[in-house]
Amino acid sequence: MAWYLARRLAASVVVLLAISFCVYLLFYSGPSDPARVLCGKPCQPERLSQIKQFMGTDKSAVVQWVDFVKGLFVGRTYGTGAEAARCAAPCFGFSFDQRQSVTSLIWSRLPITASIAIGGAVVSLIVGMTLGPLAARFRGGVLDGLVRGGSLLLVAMPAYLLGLLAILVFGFQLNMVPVSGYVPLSESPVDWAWHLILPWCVLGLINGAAYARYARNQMLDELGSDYLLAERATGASARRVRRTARRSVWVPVTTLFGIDLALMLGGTIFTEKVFSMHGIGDLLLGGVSSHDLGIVVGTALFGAALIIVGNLIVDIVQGFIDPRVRRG
Amino acid sequence: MAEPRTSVEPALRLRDLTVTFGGAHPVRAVDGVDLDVHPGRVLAIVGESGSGKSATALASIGLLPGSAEVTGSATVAGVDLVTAAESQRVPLRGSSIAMVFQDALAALNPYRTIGRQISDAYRLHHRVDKTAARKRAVEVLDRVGIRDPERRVDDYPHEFSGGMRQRAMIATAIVNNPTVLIADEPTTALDVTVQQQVLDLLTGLTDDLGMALVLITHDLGVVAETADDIAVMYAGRIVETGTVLDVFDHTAHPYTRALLQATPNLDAPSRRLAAIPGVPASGANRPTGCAFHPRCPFAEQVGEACQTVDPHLTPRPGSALHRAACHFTAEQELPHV
Ligand SMILES: Nc1ncnc2c1ncn2[C@@H]1O[C@H](COP(=O)(O)OP(=O)(O)OP(=O)(O)O)[C@@H](O)[C@H]1O
Ligand code: SF4
Ligand SMILES: [Mg+2]
Repeated sequence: MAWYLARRLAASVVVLLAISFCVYLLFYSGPSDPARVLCGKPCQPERLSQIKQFMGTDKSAVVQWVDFVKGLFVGRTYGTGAEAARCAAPCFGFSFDQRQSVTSLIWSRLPITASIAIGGAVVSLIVGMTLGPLAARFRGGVLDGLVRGGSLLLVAMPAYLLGLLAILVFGFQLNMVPVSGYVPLSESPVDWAWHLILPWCVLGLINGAAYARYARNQMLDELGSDYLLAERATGASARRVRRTARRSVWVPVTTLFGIDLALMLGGTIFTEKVFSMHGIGDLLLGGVSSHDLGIVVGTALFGAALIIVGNLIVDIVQGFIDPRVRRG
Repeated sequence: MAEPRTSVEPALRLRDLTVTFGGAHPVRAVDGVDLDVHPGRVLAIVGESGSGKSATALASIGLLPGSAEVTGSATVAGVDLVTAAESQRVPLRGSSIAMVFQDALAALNPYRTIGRQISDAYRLHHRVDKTAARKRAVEVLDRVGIRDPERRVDDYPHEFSGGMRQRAMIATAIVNNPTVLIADEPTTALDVTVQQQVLDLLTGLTDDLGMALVLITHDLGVVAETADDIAVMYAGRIVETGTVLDVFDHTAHPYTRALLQATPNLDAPSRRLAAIPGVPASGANRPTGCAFHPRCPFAEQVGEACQTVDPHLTPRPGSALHRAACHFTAEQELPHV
């Protein structure tokens, strides 16, 4: 297990470096020059080169990337003298617009995105693992039809559309829940949850429908397997065998859950937009519209890092629940 | 080999057992099977692929899918598993009638230790705590020939070799001392060297525990070595049955004869059934009259009856237990070749 972990960890670091390199090249070789954006109009050439120097964009792309990676591990300082801006490790870049490190920007937005993401992921797990096995049990029945049809519909439905619908119905028509804004958990846990209920349900329904469909099919596969027939042959009731099957279905569903959670933690762009919550997704959108490349690259890489770390954690958890991975 | 014990109640009694798989084209997989399996004896069921061996086995333990319609009776411990309510069948499975499957890797839960699976099976029928059940698991693993069972009890199936897995599955099947054990091709997936060991284990357990063993196999060599009785199935029916000695030495059905002839040397290591000329009949395409007539070398001699009249199992002269369903041998012995 230790060896397996070490190997996986090393591979993750390599992948992350490769991704950062690609992202870096992609964005910094693009048409938009961050120094020029910051310089404004009119822009004196001396001023431009000053800014470039400050940002470090006067160097070649590869050197810039090396600086960036170094910043991730040991932090870095932009500019010199009185103007100098310190970006502590892990430095995901710097927003010259807001004169803040991207890390601290992300950090300030993370509670919002995390609240949305974790709640949404938990709801989708509950929805999926309740409806999926039930649909499998009553295969061909009404619930099965709903799960299969509903999951197709929801997979095709964009999150923002469902979000807008939810706001329209539960917010405006029924006036049941607040439709926008975020209240920190530390301020009022009740208000926090109350404001998050709609986004949780929207994300939970969309992902949960996919989980339900997956869990249903997986459950039917399991129920047709030899080892469950063998368990019944030892005198286990059909009900007990279904329980065994559900346990087996958790294994692949945990993987989906982990990856989706990591994906959402990197920013729930549409959900944040629709519900006016200023999380990481909103940060990224803002960065794009203000041509703040530091923010765009930083949040993109943060998201990539989360997915890779999420994958790693999923693999470790898999090792705990599937003995064939752990003791292969 | 034990003497036939016809006076004793059979451990498993099948009467007119019929299995039909539904759907657009219903398939009669098993058609009116009568069988008695006695405690301490080994009954082999042989026949080509699709002849209904597994369907017979699963009907006997009441585990066919809902798409199968089962009629007739399969009586174990005084209960007819065909008509009994599921609540009555559940407690009998594992305790009175148990089953060993062909592919142990698929038939063991990959997420649970061997010990857990054996002790779970034990605790389904005994009110004991986990420690006691684990002790029982170690004991049974030891009985089925797993070395160092105290340590291996916590292994997962994938950590066992193929032969050991099959032993472990046998352990889960016998942990409650069933009166009937059905083994559906228990050695087909194993190396030749391991096959014999597993068969020896099964026959040893049959003797020790006084179980009735139903051994489903393709391998007539296995039958010769391990079985007391044999039932030969063709297209869902038993076409010949009796003691192995009677059936092998005084074969009374052309299909059995063909099977024996297709097995070149009963003592050779690889004894899978060689092909018999012609297309095997099945429940889906059962010929009229005797289902074997399109492939039977004696059908011409008999004439029309083979194509029109269903032969019934009739006792051979001198042995009430040796029966065959054939117009030709109802009149005369099969000629020696
Ligand atoms: N679940 C099922 N649904 C429909 N038909 C089935 C099903 N199981 C078996 N059959 C059919 O019933 C017949 C008998 O099948 P069975 O599995 O009993 O054969 P078998 O003698 O065990 O063959 P093998 O030696 O290949 O294991 C076959 O024609 C098969 O196609
Ligand atoms: S009944 Fe006729 S066709 Fe059938 S086995 Fe006997 S001789 Fe052959
Ligand atoms: Mg079979």
